[in-house]
Amino acid sequence: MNNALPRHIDFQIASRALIAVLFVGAVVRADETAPKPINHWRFNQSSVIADRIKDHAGKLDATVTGPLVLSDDVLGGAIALDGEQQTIALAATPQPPAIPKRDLTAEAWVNVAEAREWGGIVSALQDNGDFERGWLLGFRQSNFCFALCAGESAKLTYMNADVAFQPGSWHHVVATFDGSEMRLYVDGRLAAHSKDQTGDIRYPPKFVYELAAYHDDDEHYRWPGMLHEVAVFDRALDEKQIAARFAAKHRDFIAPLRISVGPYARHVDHTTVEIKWQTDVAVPTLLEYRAGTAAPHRIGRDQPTKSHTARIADVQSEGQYTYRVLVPADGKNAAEGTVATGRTYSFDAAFDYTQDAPPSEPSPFADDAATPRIVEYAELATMHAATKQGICLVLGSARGRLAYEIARRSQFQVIVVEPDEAAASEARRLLSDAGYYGQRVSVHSGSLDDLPYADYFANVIVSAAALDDESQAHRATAWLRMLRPAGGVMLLGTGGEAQERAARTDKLHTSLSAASIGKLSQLPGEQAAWLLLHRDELPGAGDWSHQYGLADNASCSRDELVSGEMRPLWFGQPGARPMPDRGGRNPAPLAAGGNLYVEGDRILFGMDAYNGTIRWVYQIPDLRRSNVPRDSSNLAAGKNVVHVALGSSCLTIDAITGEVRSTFAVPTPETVDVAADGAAADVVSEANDTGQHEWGYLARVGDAVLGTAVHARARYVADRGEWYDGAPGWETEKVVGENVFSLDARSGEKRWEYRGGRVLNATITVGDGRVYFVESRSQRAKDKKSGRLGDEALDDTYLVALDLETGRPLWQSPVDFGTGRRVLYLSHQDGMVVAAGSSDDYRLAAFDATTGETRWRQSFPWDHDHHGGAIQHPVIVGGMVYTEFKAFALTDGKPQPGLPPRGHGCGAQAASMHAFFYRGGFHTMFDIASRQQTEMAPARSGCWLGIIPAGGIVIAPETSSGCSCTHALQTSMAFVPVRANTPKPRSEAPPSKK
Amino acid sequence: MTSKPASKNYESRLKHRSRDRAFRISTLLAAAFCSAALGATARAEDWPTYQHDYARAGVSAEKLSFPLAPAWTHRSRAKPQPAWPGPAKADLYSKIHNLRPRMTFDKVFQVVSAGDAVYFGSSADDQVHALDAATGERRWSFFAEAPIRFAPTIVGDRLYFASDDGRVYCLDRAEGKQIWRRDPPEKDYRLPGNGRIISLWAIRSGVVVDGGIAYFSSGLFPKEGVFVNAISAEDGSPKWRTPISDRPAQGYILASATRLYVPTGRENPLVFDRGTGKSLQAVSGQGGTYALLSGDTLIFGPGKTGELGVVEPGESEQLATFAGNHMLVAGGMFYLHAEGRLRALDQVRYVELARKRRELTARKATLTAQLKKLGRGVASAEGLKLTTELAAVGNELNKVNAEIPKCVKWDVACPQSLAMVMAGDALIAGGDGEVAAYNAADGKQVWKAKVVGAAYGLAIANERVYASTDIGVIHCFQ
Repeated sequence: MNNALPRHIDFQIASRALIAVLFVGAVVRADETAPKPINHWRFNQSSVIADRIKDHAGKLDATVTGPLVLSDDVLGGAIALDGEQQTIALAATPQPPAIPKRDLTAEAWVNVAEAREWGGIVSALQDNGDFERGWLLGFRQSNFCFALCAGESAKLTYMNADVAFQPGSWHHVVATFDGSEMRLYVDGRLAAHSKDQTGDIRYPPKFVYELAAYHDDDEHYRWPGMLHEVAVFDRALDEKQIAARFAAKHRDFIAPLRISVGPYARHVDHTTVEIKWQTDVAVPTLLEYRAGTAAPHRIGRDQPTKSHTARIADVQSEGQYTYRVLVPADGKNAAEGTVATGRTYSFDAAFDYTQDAPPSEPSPFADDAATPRIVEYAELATMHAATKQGICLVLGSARGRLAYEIARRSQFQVIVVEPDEAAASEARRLLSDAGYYGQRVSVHSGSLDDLPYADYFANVIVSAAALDDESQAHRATAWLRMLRPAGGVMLLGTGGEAQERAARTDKLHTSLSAASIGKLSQLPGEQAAWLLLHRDELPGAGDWSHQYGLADNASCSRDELVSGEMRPLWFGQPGARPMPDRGGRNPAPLAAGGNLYVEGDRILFGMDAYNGTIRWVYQIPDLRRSNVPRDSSNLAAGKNVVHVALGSSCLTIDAITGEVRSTFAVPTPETVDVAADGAAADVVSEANDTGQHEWGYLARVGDAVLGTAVHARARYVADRGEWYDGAPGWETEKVVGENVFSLDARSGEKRWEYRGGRVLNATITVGDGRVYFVESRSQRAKDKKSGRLGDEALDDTYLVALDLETGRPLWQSPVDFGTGRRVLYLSHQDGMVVAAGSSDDYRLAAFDATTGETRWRQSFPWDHDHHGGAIQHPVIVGGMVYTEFKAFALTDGKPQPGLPPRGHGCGAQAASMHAFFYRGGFHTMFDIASRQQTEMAPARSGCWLGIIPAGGIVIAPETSSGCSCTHALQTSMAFVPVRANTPKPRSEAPPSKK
Repeated sequence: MTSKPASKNYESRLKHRSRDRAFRISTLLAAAFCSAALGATARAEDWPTYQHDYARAGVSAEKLSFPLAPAWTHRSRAKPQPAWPGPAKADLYSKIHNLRPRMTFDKVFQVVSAGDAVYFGSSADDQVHALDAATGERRWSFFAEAPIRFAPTIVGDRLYFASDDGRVYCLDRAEGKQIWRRDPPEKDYRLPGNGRIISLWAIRSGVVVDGGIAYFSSGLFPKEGVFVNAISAEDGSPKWRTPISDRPAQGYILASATRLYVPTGRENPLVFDRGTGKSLQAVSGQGGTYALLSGDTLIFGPGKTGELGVVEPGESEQLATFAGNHMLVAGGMFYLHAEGRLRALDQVRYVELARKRRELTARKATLTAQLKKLGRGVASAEGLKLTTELAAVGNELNKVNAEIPKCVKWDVACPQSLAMVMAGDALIAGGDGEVAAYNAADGKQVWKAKVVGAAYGLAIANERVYASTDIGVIHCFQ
């Protein structure tokens, strides 16, 4: 074997093995002397009889209710498990026809798509309160398990495998019992054993004998994935036999090629979806897709490449599409046979936010003397706009021609304001004839001096009326309030003779310069003199670029503008459908540089923060992370890009176009001995580790991307409604990194890598040129393979500070964080590092950021330990540390007036410099100065951080999703502070006559 | 335009289901009256507002002759643009999958018709269009400044409609000329909303016009002002306006003789006094914008699971719930339109049993509480008495529950589950790619026709059936 190649991508070797298997053509290769099962279900076409799967060894056919979809993802076939509706029943007892009495072996080849709290592969038990009987081969979370009750025992013994399984990968799992010892084997290796149970298996009086589910009277837990075969023996196979059975078949299940990045899917238009993925080696690949249960189609190229793209055409407007990547079995020619590279993915065709195709009607506009100038205007405006999506405000209709010319050159929604009713009517008629009226262009009648629109809403402002208008300089400054900050463009032209034109331009320049809101420049033009204004970011506006505000985790955007009375700025998509259910403590939305990023359920939205325009959307099967209080977000934003941790990579996506600019691989973990000072003393490279680790923590600080490598099975996904709100237990286990590293944000070049203990992702904090975190250096923590730590996380803990530029440890202090069993966070502000944790109450500790010395400690009881009441993340603003409703001075920890109770709300708090935002009954704001709490009905957010103050506005993407509450709107929305020039109420006016 | 006026007495017929005294006396009598009325009238009839009348009953007295033949098809340039996307895929915490959309008012261009004209508003091109009912040819179009999400209402020679631009418009329906327009009294404020630039006081209720008054709701954000409004139908001058403090008003507004019923999107409807605008109550349920009245009995849904709740006058709690998408009440029957099924239930008997069940359930709860209060005294004479009564109540409740299924008179497969209306003795159902008619007497299918798209909108007027689909197509059958 060529050691230079990772073992999972040794394509030739794998394919040779597969070809060999093809010739052998046997599903089970046990020889004649091999033990014979009493039941054997193989999930392939030849085993299907109507809705049953034939028992090849006995007479206990399996009855499938729900979808019976057989996949050829694996040689010999497999049944696809939907995890929701499907049942594979063997029998309902009391008297199943054949079932082991004492000696037992249950064997399965199984592929679990995602870890769940409980899962059954073969289930024959009751576990209801104190009543425990029978046996189960299954899994609990990420570990296969075997449970059994025997003899006179009244309890089931549950054994978990000592190694977590890999979701989406094939595993050989075997449970044996010989009347005295339970054994569990995973991939041919003994993974757990127990002598707690002896005697005959003690079955319950009645139970359901079932495959692919944990099923008793109280529970019925299914799971998504695949089953290749299940066999049950009435004897206990020994270790050697099991190893042989694994060895005889395991190569069938090795993916011949690993997808190293992606896949990710994006609607190009209403009927076309583009899917991209990368492989570590250059190969030709095929994409096989199907709409629902329709026949599959294949598309692809013959040319070897590492970056793959496939476009699915004729996509319907609704429905789930599934797809998978295939490679030629010989590595070259698909006609010679193909092999799947891994699991089956999906995208939802309904999540199409692209615009309708441009109308095909001929232009109804007749050319006249004004046409060249209008056309030049439209060309310049669209050319110099930062984006061609969003909203364009056209002041003065020019009979609709300017709007028409802009609309056909862009994807803008164009709003025309026309003071003259007759001109407005004519513009509407012409634009309607052109096919643009309505969604693309709308004409509003009204004065150009008193515009009713929200602040900041227009990406582009142009004025046909101003071209020859002496008063445009005065008006233009009034129009500026509607121009989007951070890149909005106002383009105004002046006509007339050269001298007149120059004078007007100067006047306009002077007027706009005085506003001091952006960069002014003159554009050359043949038809007029053009003055272009690019609006800057709002002075005093802040970003929410990371999960808790900035990389300092202070939960404060430092925004100086967001305060006082608010009113809606925009509302609409995305709605509840693409979002994960509300309770999973999901990653927060981010906003930086006027760009908004919203992570849904395996979908990412790139939006305009100021008007809610959806610019781009990716459906990414692996983009899911939850239980953020015990982990970290998978998003971080720069000014014009968003970084996305996806599998073992980090994608950098352009904020405007959505193009993936770069992909960085997570630095390959290495085995190290850690010196006493935490530095890597003896690095032993272990290459070929590809796929075993994922990108965990993620931050963007200056020109560096920071991260950690975490175990590939570590992240939580909350696909079963998990709330992560309970007392210490499995749901409070903390996801830990095995390193901390810094890459160059442009090149991806590694700047430094720190290796010490296990680094708690939720604690990694950046401030004052340092990276702070808590790590456990205990052997117990290092020995745990799952990537999540329970109490081990708090053993032998150190508070560490690294130099941001070099990664060199600056200081490290052994600190007992044993009171952070539920949650443990770090934040930084004003020279202090604040640790906040909870076990049985809240504990705060503040450390000097330059030395690590302890400054003060505090503790206080929580008000309630449900609905997030015991896991609140602190907010540091205005020299105060707020946790839940308590406040302490940052400098000395002295108690200060806190916040009012949040009411019924389970989310975390976010702050600008002057106000807090959180979920009360609805979206709620607490103004620090006035100490006034305001609810903004009728929308509410989900159960973690969903309302962010950034860019001078407050943004609240829809995060309530499946919430059972009947709050009247489920919508993404934003609020803007009411300013002097925002329209105010007026008295009742009489209706207007025609 | 050469159209004749709408059928005579259209306004009085609008009032018919909401004002007739029989409806006010009781649901039972209302049904009996309705049945008699249906038997007596089988002539051509207008469909002047969404679902025929302000009870949103969806029942026309007109009797159709089947089979119907395709007459014309109108295809809009752009398909409807509903304000709100679908619901979450699942409430995982509660283990509920396939949540139902609760805001379904603008999935299609709902049609109204009077005389020889058909009208609809468009959420895509912001216009009200008038078509010739015989040919489908366009007569006129009128522009608003934002999407028009609700069907217009026809009263006499006038056509009323409202838009997301926050305005109520009154047009001369022959020419499409504006007679008056009522703007929000607040200073205009427009913002990006549901993908368009709309008023902060967008009108999402349609317009009810009765007794010279036009009723509608406005606004989406209570802090900015959500109102139930009454204005003069003659000139748009204000009459009264009542604020709603905690929810937006979304969904076709309903009216009985004395009350207005205002759906509130995902939330439950609110009830107001028609004369004064006084807020009367919020009903209980699982929310939704599909609603109809039978007298002052409100039936609404679909909640998040596809459930219709029945709330009797003066009550806030539900009398009964049905698993279903739509319901019609006519001829003493409930016609329940569920996913894949169509059922007829004896309305009188069902209501009688449901009331009995409510009474027994309440008594059972009281007795159980009293017994619990006794604690160890449960063995006392009083405890024995309570226990005995509780057992009797339980038995009686079981009997009632056993009787309820017997109310089903027929139950047939009905693959067209998206919309339902009634004409004479025929139930018309809209489905995905087809519409069909069923005999109300026995549930037998009597007609079926193909349509392009999903038929979420149906209307019956003057011997024609109109089916509106989610891709912007209006089919006319006659």
